[in-house]
Amino acid sequence: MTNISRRSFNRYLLASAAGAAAFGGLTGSAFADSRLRFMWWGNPTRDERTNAVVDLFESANSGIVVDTEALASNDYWPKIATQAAGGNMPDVMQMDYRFLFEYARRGQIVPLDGYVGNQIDLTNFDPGFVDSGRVDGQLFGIPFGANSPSVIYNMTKLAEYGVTLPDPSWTWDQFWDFAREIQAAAPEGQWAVADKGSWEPAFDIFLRQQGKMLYTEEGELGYTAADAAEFFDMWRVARENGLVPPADITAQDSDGLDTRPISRRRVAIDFAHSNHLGGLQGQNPDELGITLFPHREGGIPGQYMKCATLLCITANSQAKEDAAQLVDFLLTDPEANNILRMERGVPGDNAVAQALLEDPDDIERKTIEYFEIVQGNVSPMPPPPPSGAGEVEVMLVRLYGELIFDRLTPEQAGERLVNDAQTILARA
Amino acid sequence: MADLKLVNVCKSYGQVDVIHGVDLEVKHGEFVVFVGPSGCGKSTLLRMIAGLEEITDGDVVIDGDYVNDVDATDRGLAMVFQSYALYPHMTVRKNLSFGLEIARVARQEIDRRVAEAARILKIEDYLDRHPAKLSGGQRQRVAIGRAIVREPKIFLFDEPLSNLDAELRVATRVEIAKLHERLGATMIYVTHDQVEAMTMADKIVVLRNGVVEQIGAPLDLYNHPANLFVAGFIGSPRMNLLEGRVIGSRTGEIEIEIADNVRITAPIGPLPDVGKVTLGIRPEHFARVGAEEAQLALTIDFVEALGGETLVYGSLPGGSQPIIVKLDGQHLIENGASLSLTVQPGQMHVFDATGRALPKMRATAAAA
Amino acid sequence: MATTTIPRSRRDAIAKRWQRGRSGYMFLIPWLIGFFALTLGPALASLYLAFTKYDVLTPPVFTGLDNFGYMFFQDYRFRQALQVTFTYVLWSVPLKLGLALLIAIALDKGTRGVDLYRAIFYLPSLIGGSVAIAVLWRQLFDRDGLTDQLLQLLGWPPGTSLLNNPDHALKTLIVLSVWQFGAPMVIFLAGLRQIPQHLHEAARMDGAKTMQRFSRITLPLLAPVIFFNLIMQTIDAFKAFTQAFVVSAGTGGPIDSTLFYTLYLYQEGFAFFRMGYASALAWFLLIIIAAFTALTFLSAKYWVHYDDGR
Ligand SMILES: Nc1ncnc2c1ncn2[C@@H]1O[C@H](COP(=O)(O)OP(=O)(O)OP(=O)(O)O)[C@@H](O)[C@H]1O
Ligand SMILES: [Mg+2]
Repeated sequence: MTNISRRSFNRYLLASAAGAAAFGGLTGSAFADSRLRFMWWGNPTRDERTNAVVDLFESANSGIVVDTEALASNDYWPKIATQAAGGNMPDVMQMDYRFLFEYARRGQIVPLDGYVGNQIDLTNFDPGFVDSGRVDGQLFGIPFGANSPSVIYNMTKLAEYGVTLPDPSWTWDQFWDFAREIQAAAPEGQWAVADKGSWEPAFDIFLRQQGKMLYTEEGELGYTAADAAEFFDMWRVARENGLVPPADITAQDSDGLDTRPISRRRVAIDFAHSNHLGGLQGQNPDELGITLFPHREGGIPGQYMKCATLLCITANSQAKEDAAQLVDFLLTDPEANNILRMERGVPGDNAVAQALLEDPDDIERKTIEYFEIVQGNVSPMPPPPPSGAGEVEVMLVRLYGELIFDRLTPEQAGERLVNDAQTILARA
Repeated sequence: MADLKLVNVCKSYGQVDVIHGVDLEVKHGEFVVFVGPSGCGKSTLLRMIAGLEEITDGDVVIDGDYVNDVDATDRGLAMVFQSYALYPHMTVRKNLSFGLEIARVARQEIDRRVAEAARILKIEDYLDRHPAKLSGGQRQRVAIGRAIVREPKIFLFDEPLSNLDAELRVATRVEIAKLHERLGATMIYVTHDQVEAMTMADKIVVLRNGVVEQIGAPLDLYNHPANLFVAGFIGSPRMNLLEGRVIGSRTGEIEIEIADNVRITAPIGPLPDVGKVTLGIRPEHFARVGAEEAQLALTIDFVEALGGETLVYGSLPGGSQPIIVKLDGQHLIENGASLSLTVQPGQMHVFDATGRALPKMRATAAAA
Repeated sequence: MATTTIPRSRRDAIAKRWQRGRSGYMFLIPWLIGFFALTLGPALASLYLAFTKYDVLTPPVFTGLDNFGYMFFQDYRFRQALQVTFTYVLWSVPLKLGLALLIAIALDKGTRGVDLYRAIFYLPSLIGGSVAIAVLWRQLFDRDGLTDQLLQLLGWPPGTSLLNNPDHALKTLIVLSVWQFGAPMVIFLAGLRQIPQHLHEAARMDGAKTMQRFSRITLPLLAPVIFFNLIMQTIDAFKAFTQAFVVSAGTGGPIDSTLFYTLYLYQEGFAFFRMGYASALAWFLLIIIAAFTALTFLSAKYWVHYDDGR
């Protein structure tokens, strides 16, 4: 097949699915000089704020019209992939660090180096932070903001139980001791800690604290079955001691913030990305706090600052310069960021971040305080995960289900995880 | 095979009464026909006997057993439906054996009875066909066969011949009559065709609006209709019913004026009151005579020459009362001419103002 | 317009026929376009893809029978999906049809308010497959939900969450599907109405009791309708997706206990971007459904009778 015919064939394959999306872009005022599409995954708060910022952008740039589309992350990636196949991706898209390399290396998104200094102004960014958007030396995505996996706790409940949160330098042993303290005070139907043995970032940190990692630079597994078994066993002990909820409650914990055990008011302590503090607080009448992951006794720091969310411009954009202008506006405009606040993490533009610090709300204050502590406890960002990593994450959730429903022992689950992960990586 | 008694049987659908107190006795082996105009309640009555229709009031007694509360499934009767109601998904053989299988009759016995019924009804060749592949007449025979194999206490037929063409109807009528003779079974047969009733019945029950008008042997009904309705219903062409006035009565006869100056003397006992009556004369009971002997002179409107007989349609002077006359053989009569007729005295029926027949003087009537 | 001087030829005749049918074909065009562009085209494309590795972002690579080899010999989630789907089909279809028939018979007997009841009983089918109802069910079957409380009354330990328990989640989905008996019920009702009353009366005269009439008259005469419902419902059940997707948030969980075949197919294709493998799965599902349908058709000879004696 020639390049062209292959390309058109490729387009045709998913034409039916992509067609709907293409037509979706034809709304809005018809006589704009330039018309952009901007897609992201999010939540109601994010969607509302982002749309407001886009309105602001349109009034500041007459002649550019931006059509927006916000999806749940579960729906976002299938749709983006479908549009990629159909050659009608949005001009600007929100990117996950996990997929940055895949999209960049397949030429679906374009290097932004040419726009930096022209449309995009990165002077107030930490160069090291910007570098996390580089693939093979070129800048393919600009990080929206930073976040880090964290411990989220219910301050109201802890006060009610009359227990005090230990220092953020706590170890896993101290963490579980504290959990026992909580559990002793907790009423029936309440548990100390959410069972997050299926949460990959928690496993990731647990590994990194021992100098291991999920994936090596070469895209291979960075841990053994025994490592996984150790992690699983820690949770098994907690479960057997009644410190975490029973399997059926844990089984319900999924993507949506409302399904988290802390939002369902089952536990005093949960784990989440730091930028979700605001969202989780919105689900909860009690006051929430945020702190560091427990440390490994004699280990090294496991947490790291993530640029989980990036902005990219796609290869099929017809107005890349306008798109770059939108990217710049989203990242560096003070007014825009006063609307967006820290919903996607702490902004990478230091001037913008400083401005937000002048009148932080409660959540932002907590986040920033948290960040100040994290900064001193981080290790460098891990290499990008290989393709197939997303599926391994799903597999982990599944295996963990078998574990909590007593179909597997921690050792068996560890073996299975490594085996299945290797199969998946080989197939990817 | 059994006898049947209905005592004051009534049926109402909600507020509507459709059967008003029917009393009837059917003896073992009798062939009873229910006749009456459409909607008079024949089917309803039959279905009450079958057990398919609840009995609002009165008793149904079969072989001395009170069966009002016995379901159709347990009455041991068989019914042949107007629409045949053959099971479309079963072969003819299965249709016949179904009831026996339900009753857990031994296989051998089933086969014997099916073969027997098939032989009697000449349906042996179609035993393995489905009903959809049979003609109307063949289906009718299967429906009858289905009743026969059950060896029921009583056979019930609801207008079984009405879907057949004229020729087949006559043939099947004969077959059913023969069957009755051969089986000697009690049969109750519903029809609104009075020819069927006359030819097949041992006993006819004439129904009108849910009321029994008369019960009797066919000729009894023909010769002695109890009322105007029966008189008009039985016999074809129907009886001439002439309105008249009694103008004189003597011992054994009365004189009735049916038109200006047309008087007829009928052999009926003396009447206490002189008044309006209806004179009934069957078309076949007129005789053509010379003008001098004539009791009536008919002005002829129309003649139908059928070969073996001649039907004359005419009217009395004054043109008021139409009369049909049936003459044997062939007659050369012209429209508009006058026909001189007499009536055999014994063949006259007189009905009072309420429609009831007045008693005849037996002695003279017997001359017929 | 053809000129009349040209002698009539075969081509002329064809043109004539075309002209005669032209308006008919014109009316067919929207359907034809839809069929070729939206059904046949993608179907053939997916047949090709079934023999490739295709991650959507890069062009498909032909891999021969690799997908099928992996499917049959290595993929335990595929086996799980088959098991879940077959369990679902083999339970939900007979239960649903049985309930539909039962209700249809009850409605057929009843006289007053039949239309109202029919509408009420049909309602679950209209809304039952919707996302909203699946979400509602999720609440209903949750810990502390209505079923939990009811089961506690029956002596179960508190804290039963049927949908979050791998032993009960599929059963719950089966119940959810049985609850949507409306469509087959309406068809059954129409079928029952078609059976002439006098056949029941004839059977009564033949001494057949209620159950005997049901098994020997009603059921056989309803066989064509049962057959139709069976095929439709079986195909539907094989294609079941929405409830499991919503109830398990797309995971097929807990621990793959509700991993319907279509859900697995969806995950492989749209979550893990293995369109080639997903296509192979889709074609295998097609073969399964075709085989089931064919088996049903073959068996029909033994139990489906049509009125005309075929
Ligand atoms: N289910 C019913 N509800 C109300 N009235 C009914 C019902 N069935 C029959 N009837 C009425 O009862 C009367 C007798 O009906 P039936 O069927 O017995 O008449 P029939 O003598 O058999 O007439 P045909 O010669 O037309 O068959 C009719 O007036 C009919 O309208
Ligand atoms: Mg009738």
